[in-house]
Amino acid sequence: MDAPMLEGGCLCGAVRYRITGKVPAANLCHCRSCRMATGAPVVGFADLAPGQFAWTRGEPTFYASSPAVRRGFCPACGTSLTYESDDLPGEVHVLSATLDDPAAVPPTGEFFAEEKIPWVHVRLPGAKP
Amino acid sequence: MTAHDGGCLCGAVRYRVTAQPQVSCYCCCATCQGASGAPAVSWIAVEESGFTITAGTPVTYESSPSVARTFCGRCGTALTYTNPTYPDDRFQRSSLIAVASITLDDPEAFPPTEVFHGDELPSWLSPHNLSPGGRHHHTGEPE
Ligand SMILES: [Zn+2]
Ligand SMILES: [Zn+2]
Ligand SMILES: [Zn+2]
Ligand SMILES: [Zn+2]
Repeated sequence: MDAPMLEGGCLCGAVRYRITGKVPAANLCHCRSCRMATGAPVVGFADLAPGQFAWTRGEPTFYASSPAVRRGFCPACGTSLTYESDDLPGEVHVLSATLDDPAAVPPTGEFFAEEKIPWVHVRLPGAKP
Repeated sequence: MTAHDGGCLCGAVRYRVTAQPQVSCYCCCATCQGASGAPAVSWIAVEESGFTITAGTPVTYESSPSVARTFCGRCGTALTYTNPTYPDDRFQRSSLIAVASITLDDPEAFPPTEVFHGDELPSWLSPHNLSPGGRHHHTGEPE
């Protein structure tokens, strides 16, 4: 059987990407940097292993939100697409709302819960109501 | 009301809001998801005269013919949304600009009181915070 494949991209379609293989982990991030990079109160990620991610169309712009971190976004429409850190060599963390099927990778955990906006209420699958 | 300042992640674009928000909402539409890269955006909508860019110049992207979305060209932060034809009487009555409220220096200042395009709200994001009487819009208006 072929490896599973997911595709996604920015709002205007100028930048596209492909994920090959099973997504190993999916998490939400509440940190200020992720919120500010997107303009949204909470951000979902597909956290990939090295070699699973490839750009297939266009060129994102990268912004170093701290010395070890680069965030990719579309220069034409602004969509935030990826997060990479020197601390996680080769890993690409993809903003999962940019998948063609944004529901394909439901989050199972949360990062930086201590920075959560108080009016953001998250209830992950399997959590008690 | 007191002024609220805000801006993008890198600081190149800064703005000031001096008008009371007339709408404070989550929008979960596919276009807001696409523009931000996140599952929902929290917006406050204010009279355009009550919004000023105080530093830098954002990039404008027209996500559909009457819709202008702005973001910082250096760091990508989504900042504003305008649509003079948005099918909501509050947008029709006056000229409103929606500002991504999480980009305010006080990102907690305006909890959303209603949900636009709630049918596209991810199942794990609960709108429980909505105050009694908060409105839900389940229609799929174009954005
Ligand atoms: Zn784009
Ligand atoms: Zn984060
Ligand atoms: Zn910026
Ligand atoms: Zn929207």
